[in-house]
Amino acid sequence: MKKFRLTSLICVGILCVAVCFAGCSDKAAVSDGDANTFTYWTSLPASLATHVQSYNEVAMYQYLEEKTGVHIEFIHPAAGQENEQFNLLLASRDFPDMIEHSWVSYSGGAQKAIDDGVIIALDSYLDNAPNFKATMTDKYELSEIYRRNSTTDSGQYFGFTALNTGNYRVFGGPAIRRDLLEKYNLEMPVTIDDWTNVLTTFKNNGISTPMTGMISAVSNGSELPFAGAFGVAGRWYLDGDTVKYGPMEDGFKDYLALMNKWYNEGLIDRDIATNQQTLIDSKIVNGDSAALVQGYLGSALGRYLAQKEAEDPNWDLVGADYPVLNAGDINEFPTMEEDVRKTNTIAITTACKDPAKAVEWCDNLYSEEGLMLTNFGVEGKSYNMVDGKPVYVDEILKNSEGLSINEALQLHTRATSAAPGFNQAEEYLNQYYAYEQQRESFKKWEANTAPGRTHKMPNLFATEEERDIMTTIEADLNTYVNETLWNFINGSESLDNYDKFIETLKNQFRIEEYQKILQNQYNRYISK
Amino acid sequence: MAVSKTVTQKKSLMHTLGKEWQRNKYLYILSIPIIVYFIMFKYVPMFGLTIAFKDYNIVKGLFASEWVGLKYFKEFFTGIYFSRTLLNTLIISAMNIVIGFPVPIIFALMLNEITNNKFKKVVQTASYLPHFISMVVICGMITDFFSTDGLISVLISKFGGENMTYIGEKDYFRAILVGTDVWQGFGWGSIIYLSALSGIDEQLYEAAAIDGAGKWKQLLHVTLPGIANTIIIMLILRLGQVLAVGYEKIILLYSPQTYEVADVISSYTYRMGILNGKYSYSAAVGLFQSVVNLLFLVTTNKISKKYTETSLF
Repeated sequence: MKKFRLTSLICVGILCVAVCFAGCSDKAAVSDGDANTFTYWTSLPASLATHVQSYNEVAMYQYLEEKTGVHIEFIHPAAGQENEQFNLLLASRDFPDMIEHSWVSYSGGAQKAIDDGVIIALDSYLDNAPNFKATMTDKYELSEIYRRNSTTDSGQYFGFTALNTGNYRVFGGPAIRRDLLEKYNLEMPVTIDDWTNVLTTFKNNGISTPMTGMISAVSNGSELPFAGAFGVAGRWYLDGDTVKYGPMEDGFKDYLALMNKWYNEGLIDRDIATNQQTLIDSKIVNGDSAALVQGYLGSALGRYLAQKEAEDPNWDLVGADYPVLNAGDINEFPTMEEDVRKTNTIAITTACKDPAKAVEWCDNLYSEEGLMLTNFGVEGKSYNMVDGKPVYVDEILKNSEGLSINEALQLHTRATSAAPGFNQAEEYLNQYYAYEQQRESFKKWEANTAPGRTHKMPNLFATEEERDIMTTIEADLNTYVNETLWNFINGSESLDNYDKFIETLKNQFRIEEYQKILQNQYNRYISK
Repeated sequence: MAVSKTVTQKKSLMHTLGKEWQRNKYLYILSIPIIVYFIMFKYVPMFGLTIAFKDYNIVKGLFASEWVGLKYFKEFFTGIYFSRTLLNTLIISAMNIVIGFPVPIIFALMLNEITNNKFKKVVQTASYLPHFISMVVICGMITDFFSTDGLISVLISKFGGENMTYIGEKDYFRAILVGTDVWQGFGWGSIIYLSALSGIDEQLYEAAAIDGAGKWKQLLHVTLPGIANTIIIMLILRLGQVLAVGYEKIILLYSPQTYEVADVISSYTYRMGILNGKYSYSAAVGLFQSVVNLLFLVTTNKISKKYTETSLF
């Protein structure tokens, strides 16, 4: 008995101590006040976090430290909790010197973050950042777009944004098994009628679910390749200078009618609303499906090709042209990235004691050297110049420890996900996409980039008041639209009721008010 | 006179407390972490509920945010989906209680009749297992099993049904949701009844047997009255969670196809509050849920006290 009591006492003691420690564990990382040290809050990709503790172990940041003499103390939020921890950081008001996050989505917009005293406007430090300044003014063809997306509505620079370079913005589109097309003597489908024909032939030859994928893209606003054929996007898009909502426009009903027809004939996956990635994977790999509504270059094409390579060298999944109604048309709604990412913008906070120096450090990312650093790493270590082009060393492409290209690159660069500075350099894509089919696909889709850009919504800022109205409208609107669009596709709601659907959107869900707010935001954007 | 009485009372109270402390001090020490836990994580956050009445802004903080009164409550009650989510919540909750509540009791009664101890242990352990699997894994299994060509869909088609995605069908969603809830929880839920069963005096059974009661009569007149108190307490507690249909499982299983039957208050609030960052709104809904739940708890407790003389407090 005595022994038992003693044990329980010890247990209680341990518990108490544990509770105390749990309460005060994450207070360690505070700048030591050294003039050459800056704290920098940014997320660390989960796949990199298994190999390193912080970006200090990544070659490009080691190079930058050597070059500038500035030491960066990285603070990395736990993977998957970036948004919560960002909010906690704001609430604590104990800011690091630099924060890399999506400042566009800060409640009230980036201007509000400046007014709230969270971050500083960079305008008065632009002379410390000659490369950034040149990038934003006239150095590139896209400088104007870069600037508009990096400034608040009143024209102040709010941070060092993540810019896309090159012309290959489209990262996904319809994909199809070319070997099966050849087997059944079919041409690569171009028009919607071609697609219907191809999918029907597949179906008649025993492919149970000719096309699979997930059209839950309706809910996250991605463009829908097949809606694009009817001249509409899945959600909000620009038509000239007018903001429009896809489901409210003429073509959308025809798009739904097509989907409904394909659904009834069993040409598209009946589970297309509830699909899970694993189910799609198995259908494609087992050959139950021969086409994808949305085949992403890396996560679909690259993965499937790698999986089938050894087993069946003739297996050939490749991106198809974006579908159109009549041959010769151009589908203007590809799935593409913006020229300036909404995420991964470094802002200098009000807590930074020497903003000029921090700005100087960030500016390194916007020079030619910075572009090489972010995309290719340090010359001689991760790449070599061959005939004037950067070529990754074998250690990156065929890693001796079995790391994927993605993982190997992350140890040297920030090429594989959005980063402040320049992203998606052409030579990076050419080497990162290892399969001919991938390169062929993104070159094919390049034709859609220019018109796609004119329809893409830029980084718009909502005032606090606007944001309040928008969030109220948004949640119900999305619920209703997602639900009703599904009912139209699977036939539980007749398309004859489509006008009623639009009426309901207008009368009950305040869609016009929402549209007007977006239009105002766009007008502010275009006039700055 | 009165004064001296209170003094002696106080003294004797102190005395009893001291004695109590002497006797059970390790138990009290042992309970400290639990008490600290409740104060820190249950009572302190209650002050945060004020954000339900404020226009909470994360930068301004709790105190500097403006008061807006009942704005968010109004928004919720007049919302387009209020009646639908409330109805879904009540239906799913009612199904859970009507089907899910008796199953552990029946299971415990059945287990109690098993005399082979080894077999009993195996069955018991097997029935606990689903309780320990993470919700995400369970939901992954459910979507997999109930999809086209999934385990259960194939089984159903073997018996003449259709091989399709049952989890995406409005007609089956609630049944799957509640059915799997029962499957996941009945083993674990039966523990408390088993312990109550083991507390019944053996002599009562002997006496009943001598009086000529068979197994069924024994069950009706000895066993059930013996655990009636436990059942009532558990029912009161369960009714106290009428509106608290958990959102984790639902948001993992539903899709726009099944919103109509699956969208409950908590999943709706999740989409509204967390995905859209409307903290005040979700706090208001949370407060509403808690108040209704408390009302249910207190009412059932009162009713039970009046008619069965069993109550929580």
